[in-house]
Amino acid sequence: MIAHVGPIDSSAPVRIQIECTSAHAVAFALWHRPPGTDAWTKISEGRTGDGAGETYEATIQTQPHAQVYYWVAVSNPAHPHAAYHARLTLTQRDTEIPHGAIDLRGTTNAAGNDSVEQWLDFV
Amino acid sequence: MRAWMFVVAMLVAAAAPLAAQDDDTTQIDEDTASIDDIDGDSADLVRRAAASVVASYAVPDMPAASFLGTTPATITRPATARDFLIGLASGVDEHGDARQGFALEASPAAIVPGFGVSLEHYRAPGVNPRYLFANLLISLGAARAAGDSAPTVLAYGVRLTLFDRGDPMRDPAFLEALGDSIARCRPRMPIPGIPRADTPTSLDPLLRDLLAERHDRDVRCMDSHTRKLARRYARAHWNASSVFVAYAGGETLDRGSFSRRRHAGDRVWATGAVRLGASAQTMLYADWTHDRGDAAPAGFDALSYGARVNLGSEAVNGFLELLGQSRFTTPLGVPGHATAWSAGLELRAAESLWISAGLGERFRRTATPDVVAVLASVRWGISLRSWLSPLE
Repeated sequence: MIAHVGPIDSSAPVRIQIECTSAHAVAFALWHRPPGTDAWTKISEGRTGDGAGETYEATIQTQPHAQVYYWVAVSNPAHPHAAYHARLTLTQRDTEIPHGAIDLRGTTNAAGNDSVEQWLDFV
Repeated sequence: MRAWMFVVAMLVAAAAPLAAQDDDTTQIDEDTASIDDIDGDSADLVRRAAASVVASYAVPDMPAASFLGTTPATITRPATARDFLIGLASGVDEHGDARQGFALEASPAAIVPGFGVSLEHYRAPGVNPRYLFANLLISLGAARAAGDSAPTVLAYGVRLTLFDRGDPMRDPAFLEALGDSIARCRPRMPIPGIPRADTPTSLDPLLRDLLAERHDRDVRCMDSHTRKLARRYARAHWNASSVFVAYAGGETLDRGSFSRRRHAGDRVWATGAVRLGASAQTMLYADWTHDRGDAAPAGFDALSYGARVNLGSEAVNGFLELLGQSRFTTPLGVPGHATAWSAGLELRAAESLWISAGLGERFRRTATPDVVAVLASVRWGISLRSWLSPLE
């Protein structure tokens, strides 16, 4: 299921927050594709321990029909087979965009790892 | 090489007094067996039971399964409250009776909305209720003994980590290395062929396969990196201090019916470890069982306990342990209490392969280690895991 986020206002930047609410280390990457193009541009990446804190943020200037591709990985080798919860929140002018909260839920494997990658369309 | 020489030296030194405790080498004349002999055999049974119960100095990962004495083939682990309810429903059949073989494990911190514990809160120092909550696990299971008419036993359990200095998720250096490890598995680019947003988009089967393939590759990459990291951490913290507790109880359901239930019993486990300097550790274990049996005379209470001192490193350990079991409400003539001791060495020969040698109850039976050989009255054990390694 592809998330359709918006409608967005192309005059204001979109802020993307990534937060893990379970006790897992996180790594992520975000790409952006403007409308009418084929090329993806990496806009942000981060990981636990990079000094950015526990909530990661990226800001892009974008418009309807643009896309964001996300990869989020979680790990907790001390607690395999554990449920995890991470959330992507997209806001404009400090207000959540309609359908702009994307929950990533699942259960890690026997080594305590899992990853999610998907894209979303702005409308 | 030095470790091997040390093992051989210990065995030679130990060979002489071995016969004093090794009952297997003593022929018992059945015709002259006395009351003392019978008491001795009963005490031997209790000692063996203690050694069998105190197998790993660890509380069970899934107390409900331990109560049932089973290893579930499939365990439902819900990630949301909705999944939890669906999981519970799967434990009941179409007649409203308990479904045997059912097993479920859940973390309330994960399934109760708004109660998630982030890594930041998990790592908070001092008395940390969120840490306790994040490490609370509940489990449910149902099993039926052999035979069509046997009742189903429904078990429920909780497991709690009170304190664990060996928890890598509270160590900033480990977390930095872990974050770095999983970030190495980050894809370079999105998968190819994603349709533009201004065209009708749907997740076609080809894209779905590409995403699944990428997911499997990324997770394999993460597994490879994080397993090495976790193994190194566990070895470096093999003697960390910790306290774990667990409880399980059960209900006997006649023909699986919840309306015809009877309390089957309770079991409580507690383990503690205390780090002693850089190369030693004391471990304590207690396990209380209250079994109501099929009828009143068959019920019993038992307390098994163990204390052990480990000295050495993550690869070579010498140990001395005292095991005991007290049984309450035992019939006349059956000893209610017995103790046993063991001492020996453990040497990690390869990954997940340990060589053990020593004296005492641990080395009298073939239950643990996995294989025991007798050489000049000294028992050698080959085990797939150490009793000391929590993560292996």
